[in-house]
Amino acid sequence: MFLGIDTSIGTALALLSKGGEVLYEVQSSDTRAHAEVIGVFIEQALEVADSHTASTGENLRGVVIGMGPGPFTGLRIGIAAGRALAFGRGIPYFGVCSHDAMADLGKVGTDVRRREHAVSHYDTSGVRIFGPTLIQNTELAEDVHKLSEISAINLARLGGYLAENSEQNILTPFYLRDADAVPQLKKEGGA
Amino acid sequence: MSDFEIREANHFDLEPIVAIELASFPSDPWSARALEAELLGPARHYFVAETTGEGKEVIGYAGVLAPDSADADVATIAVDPLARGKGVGLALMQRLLEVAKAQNALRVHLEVRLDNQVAQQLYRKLGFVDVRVRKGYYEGGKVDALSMMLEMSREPLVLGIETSCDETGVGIVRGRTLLANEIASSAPEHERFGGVVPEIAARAHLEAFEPTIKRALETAGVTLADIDAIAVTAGPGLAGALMVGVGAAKALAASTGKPIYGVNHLVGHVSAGLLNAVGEPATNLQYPAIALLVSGGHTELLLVRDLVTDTELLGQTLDDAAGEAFDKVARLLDLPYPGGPHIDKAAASGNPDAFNFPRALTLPKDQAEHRFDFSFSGLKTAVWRTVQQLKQRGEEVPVADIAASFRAAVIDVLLTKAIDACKHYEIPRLMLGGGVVANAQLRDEAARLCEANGIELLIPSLKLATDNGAMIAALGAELISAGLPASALTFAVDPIMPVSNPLSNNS
Repeated sequence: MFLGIDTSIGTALALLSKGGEVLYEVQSSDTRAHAEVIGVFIEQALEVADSHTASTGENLRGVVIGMGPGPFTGLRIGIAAGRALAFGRGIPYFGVCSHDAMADLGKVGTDVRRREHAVSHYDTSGVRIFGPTLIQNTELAEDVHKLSEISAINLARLGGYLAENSEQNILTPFYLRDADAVPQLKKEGGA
Repeated sequence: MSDFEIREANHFDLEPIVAIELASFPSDPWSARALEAELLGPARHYFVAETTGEGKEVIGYAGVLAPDSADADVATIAVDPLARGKGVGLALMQRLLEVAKAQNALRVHLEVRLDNQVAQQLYRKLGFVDVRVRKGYYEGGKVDALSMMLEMSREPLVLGIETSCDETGVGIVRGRTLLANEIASSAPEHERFGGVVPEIAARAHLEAFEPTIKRALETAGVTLADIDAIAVTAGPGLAGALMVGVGAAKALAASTGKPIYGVNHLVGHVSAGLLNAVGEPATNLQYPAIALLVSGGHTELLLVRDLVTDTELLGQTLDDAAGEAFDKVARLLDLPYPGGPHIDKAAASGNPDAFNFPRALTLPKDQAEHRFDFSFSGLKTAVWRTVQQLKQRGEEVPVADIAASFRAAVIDVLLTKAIDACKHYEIPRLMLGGGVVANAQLRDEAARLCEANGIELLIPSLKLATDNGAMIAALGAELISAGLPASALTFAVDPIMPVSNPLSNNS
């Protein structure tokens, strides 16, 4: 089994068996509640994984994490959670470009706010040939699919390949913007 | 030596056990017959540590007398002298404690040679406390023993995660005993911006949390499986930074089946006053207490009647935090970030009375509404005006005198209000928390004023006073010991979480 997890848009998790059976899938389209929902989704997915292990002997082999692009605050929650759950279970994690899960669509874009989309292009064999790159909304080509979700099933599907090709692992999120380029909109309390 | 595993002892282990007994206690060993009787006796549970791989070899053994009752006794524990220092003793002892727990023991007792410091440290790490010295316990009256005891149910092992600002902190405590306090700071990355940039802090947390957790577990000598609960800062703090810690903590809790406590950062700062390092004398914060928390992001005065049930915010800054004022004034004086240490350095040779900077909210008219509140923006403006006037007149800016006078004004206001709170509420105890405890001038002045007013002063070590995960774990342990239920896995981060709320319990 591989578990796919992505919070670059909403919150998406999926658990896929070795035979390609979708054992668990969840999509929350709320782009502001990743930190709230992620714990329960992980708990549910692992419950399914554990009972699958008990009945078939097939173990959870790893976690495939969508590394963006996407709005930073939400994106990081899935990456942090994916890494922590892999650590908690003592299994490896693999990072991939979130758009790779949507390669079938050809040209895809994620709304990364501030009037920009992050865009990637794929050829018919699913190889990324462009991006992810920031493009202003006004410059966005008509044939770019504006994504409303990332398929965690497709992420999980990449697990077997990534486990064999560790050099393909993406370790740094696709932020695409410098950290200091983010305006501080309002002062927050605390330290 | 290769790895080892712990398994139940059987009759065939008697020979190596006798050999280790002789090597470990040459002057006072148990006989083979006594050991055999122990091994097979009722309510006794004996284990051996055996090397794995080829040529399995018994390298240690231990036993506990654990009838199904409140008290269990460690009968013996010994490790082959050639295999020491590799965690064999710890692993054996942990197995004994598991058995004792399974047998419903509330207390585990043991005796150890008074001169065996290494073993005592190991036991303290596991939560044992000293009970009494027993004169002439060993070797026919020649060697003293120390009786130690572990209270099982009251000592939760908690891992705490802190990511509310620019420090990624992971701490591990057993009850009020500090086992690990690992910190990764992104402070240097914020230097050129003259203040914490939230996005830089959040990115750094994401990269730092996993290695920091690993370091903490290693330092504490425990595994993730040993941990009873996970505590994490739910607020107050920077939202994006908090979410990294909360996301990670929830996943860690969900993947290991452990309860999670989303706790209050400020109450956590006070909890640091309860922590004791292994083998060190107790810091022992008593209630009720007044707590003054001052850092780059905080200036709060708290009344703590009970950490778990009753913390009240007496006052806070109405504008800049004190640490922020230090940063801004440092910039006015062309001193580097962070301002605290650099202003301190410049002030060393300055005259604190050279300039009479304002002490905000200290006038009689402020007493009704803002007796325990702070304001530092006027002070910063006063420094700015002074510098401007000097420059306009073509005079040189006396950096040392301005720094000393500014520092004196800040410390004066902070401590005057803290002491006033102690007097007003008739609480003769003051605790300082936050990065400000790094300031020697403030520590000295606090010590002087507290002594003059008959107030007991408690200042945690710098590593426990600044943002850290151990204080978060400590608060988690207090909440657990008080019997509070864990937070729901759905709890949200709360950037403005009030101190009256030590624990997030729901979404």
